[in-house]
Amino acid sequence: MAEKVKPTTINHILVPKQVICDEEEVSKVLSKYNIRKDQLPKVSIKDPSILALEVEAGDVIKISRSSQTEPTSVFYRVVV
Amino acid sequence: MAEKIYKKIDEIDFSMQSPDFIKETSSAKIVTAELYEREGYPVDGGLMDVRLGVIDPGLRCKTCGGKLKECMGHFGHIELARPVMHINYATHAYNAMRSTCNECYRVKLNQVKLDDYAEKIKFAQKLGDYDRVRKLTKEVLAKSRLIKKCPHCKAKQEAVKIEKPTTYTQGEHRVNPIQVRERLEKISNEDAILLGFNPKTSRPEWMVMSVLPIPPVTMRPSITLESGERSEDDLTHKLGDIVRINQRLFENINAGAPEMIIEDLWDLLQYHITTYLDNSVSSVPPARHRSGQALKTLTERIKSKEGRFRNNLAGKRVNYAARTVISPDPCIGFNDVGIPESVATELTIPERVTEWNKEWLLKLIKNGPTQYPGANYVIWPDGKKKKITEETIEQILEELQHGFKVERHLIDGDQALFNRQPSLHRMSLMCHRIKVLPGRSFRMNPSVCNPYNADFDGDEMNLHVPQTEEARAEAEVLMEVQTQLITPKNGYNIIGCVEDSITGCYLLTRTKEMSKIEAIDLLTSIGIDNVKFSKEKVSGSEVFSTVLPEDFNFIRKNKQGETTVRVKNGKLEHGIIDKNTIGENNGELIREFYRKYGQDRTIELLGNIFQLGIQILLKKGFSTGVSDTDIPKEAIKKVDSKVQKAYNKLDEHIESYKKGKIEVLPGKTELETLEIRAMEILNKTRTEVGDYITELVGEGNPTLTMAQSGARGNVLNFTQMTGCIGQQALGGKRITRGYRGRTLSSFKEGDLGPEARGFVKNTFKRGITPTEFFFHAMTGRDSLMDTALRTPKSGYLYRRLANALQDLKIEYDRTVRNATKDIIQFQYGDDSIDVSKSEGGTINVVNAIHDVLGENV
Repeated sequence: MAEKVKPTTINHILVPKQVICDEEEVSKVLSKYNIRKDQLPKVSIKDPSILALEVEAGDVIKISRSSQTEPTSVFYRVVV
Repeated sequence: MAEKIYKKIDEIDFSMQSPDFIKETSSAKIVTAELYEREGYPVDGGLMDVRLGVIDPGLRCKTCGGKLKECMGHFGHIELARPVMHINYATHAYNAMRSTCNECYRVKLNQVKLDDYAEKIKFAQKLGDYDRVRKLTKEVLAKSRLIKKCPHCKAKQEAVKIEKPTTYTQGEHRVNPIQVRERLEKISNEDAILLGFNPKTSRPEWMVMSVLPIPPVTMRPSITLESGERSEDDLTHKLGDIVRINQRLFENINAGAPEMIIEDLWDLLQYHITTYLDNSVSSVPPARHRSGQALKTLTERIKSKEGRFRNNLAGKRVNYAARTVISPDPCIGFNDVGIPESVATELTIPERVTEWNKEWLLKLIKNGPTQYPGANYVIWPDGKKKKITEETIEQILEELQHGFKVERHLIDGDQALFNRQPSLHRMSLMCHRIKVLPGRSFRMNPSVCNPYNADFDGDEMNLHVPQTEEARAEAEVLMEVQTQLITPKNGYNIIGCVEDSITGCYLLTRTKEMSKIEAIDLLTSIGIDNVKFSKEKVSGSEVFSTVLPEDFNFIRKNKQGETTVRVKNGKLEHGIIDKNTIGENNGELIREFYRKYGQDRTIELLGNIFQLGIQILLKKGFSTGVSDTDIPKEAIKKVDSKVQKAYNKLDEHIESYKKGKIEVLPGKTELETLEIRAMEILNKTRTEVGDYITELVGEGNPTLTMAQSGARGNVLNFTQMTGCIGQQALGGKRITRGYRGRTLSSFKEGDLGPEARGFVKNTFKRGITPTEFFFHAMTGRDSLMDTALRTPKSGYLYRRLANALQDLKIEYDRTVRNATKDIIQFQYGDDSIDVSKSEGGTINVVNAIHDVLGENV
């Protein structure tokens, strides 16, 4: 039997930097926007770009990426 | 800021009605097909029974005691003499019978499997995964259907067959609805779940109807015709048929009539009930009126474009609206909409009678509905509404008092909403001021074509008249044309000068000298009569400056790019006005106006400039014709020699290509390099010809004037009429399609010369050769197909996008959120720029600094 391949971080110019937020940061974000966790944008747990992070459903991912209008824009997504 | 939710629906259960439920909720048992007694009063136990609700004013409902409009109606029922299949459940009943045993009525799978499925379905239901439940029950049906021997009682199974739409047979015998009902009754609750039923709310045997609910009369009102005759609703007709046949069937059964007759009547009852439920079942002939028109029964009421959803719920109709063809009128303001008198007399505004307008309103009433500034209706304070006619006018004039309302005709200056479909953005519906004009079309200023995306090739537009003070105020504040000057798409002005007014201003500002009298005459014609000129001769710029505010400063490049438009303290010091300064979309002068003076002043200034441009052309005269494209013989020779030079140059390249000596571009083959060179040379030739001709023809040419000012057409169009049409290209390349190695059989194989590859040397005016014509037609057809196919595709794409984004909104914390306040984007556009206050999406920092420092540009 083939061994299960451990996912690695995708190192590609089009894949933005993604980290798991700690609890403190999550609550900061939620209170900043005055929302519940389920009102955040979502990302699938099977999304290839976050496989290497070994996330669980309910984790919040912080994504820093470049955009057309700003050098970096920060985005939060909750794993579902 | 958690929102309170008082009640929340988490599940809706659709189920069948049980016969018991129908009887329980019924307020009347219908026994006779008669509708009214001789006096016109509804028959008790008839289809218009007063217990089912009332549709006649004056009568009271016997069930709830409500009057017309108070009582929303009550269901009744009829007991069917024999049960009948429900057409929409025919296949479900068929499936249930096929999957169950003929003798023990269990699902034809062994107990282990049944338990397994039961558990799986229960689990899926608990999760609320109804797709999964559906999949599992389908599996049960599919697996048990073809089994020939019952695993429970070991009985041999004969297949049940369905004869569309509602007849079942087993072997030689017919399975009538009574037998169907018996078999379905014997399916146990546990098995029913496996077959996809929820036995708590829907038992399988309810698919066979033994009681038919009668909808309330309010659902099928009769219409009283002018002759006093009553015309009944289609449903009432059909229900009458059902009741009649049902009674006959009862009588025949009671009289012990032969089985043959009973069966015939039974089938007839089945037919009537089927068409009552759905009159467009294939294989059932639709029930018809005496006139031959098919009846509109229950399913037809709901289904398709004319059904309840698409016609009445998704699309509604309004009063106080008009629609006609639009046509241009440059002499009315941007704000105005010209309407024909016939529309003005039909559309009205309710005006309350007060001490100040009573005299005037009385005059309008006297004019009546036919003479133009008149009135159509008068509304009493108690809500009574009376039409003004010759009979009523005397009484109305006498009784009219303060507090009455008069529905008067539209007059100049009234607000109206003007709209053109497709309403893709907010500028598709704007508020205009009424102007009553002769003719039969809506008139609009050509400058507002752009926001509506209208032209005058037969376009029609809609006009709505707001009826309340609030609506009118809102329309004025939010929707008047000047509020829509700047489009939220990119922050550019969507309204600006157009066509003749651009040409006019261009010609004016190019004029070095004109007499004082001429200038004053011109300005008077646009309503400016307080201007003094000290000199006898004035320049065009001075005249133009009179419409600019005195504190206005402006420096920008114009369309030509090399000349700068400079305005200082309201004086046009330098430059020529053209499309880049006053045109629509990025007319910089207009945007500067808007920034400085705000919307109301801008529309006024823009209006003046527009009128000025129009009046110049009216005074001077301006026209184009074929003679615009005349050039002297020497010029034609010069053009030819330019083209010939390019030919020679191309020949050199072809020569070196054939010898294999061509200098290859990186990443290209030799042939590709040659083709690129050819395109370069030939396109350059056309540009050169264009430049030469432009220079040759000079300033006086009207066609060129229009192109240079940006009013209409471009220099390329002019070149193609006078100098040379140029290379025809398909997909960015010269034409190569056709025969092997050549485009047409008249060329030699492998001919790479300009003529053989689609270069058109001639002009539209001079005429082109058949070969040239063919190549030109190729590209023409290509671009035609392109636009014809792309327009609907991109239109639908845009519609889907707009619908998907329609309830997104930027909140005060600059996040983009949807209706449920879920976050879509954390910062709008990642930079929080309000595009409608930007220039093409970016903020003009220089302008902002100047504004803050209060400096002039």
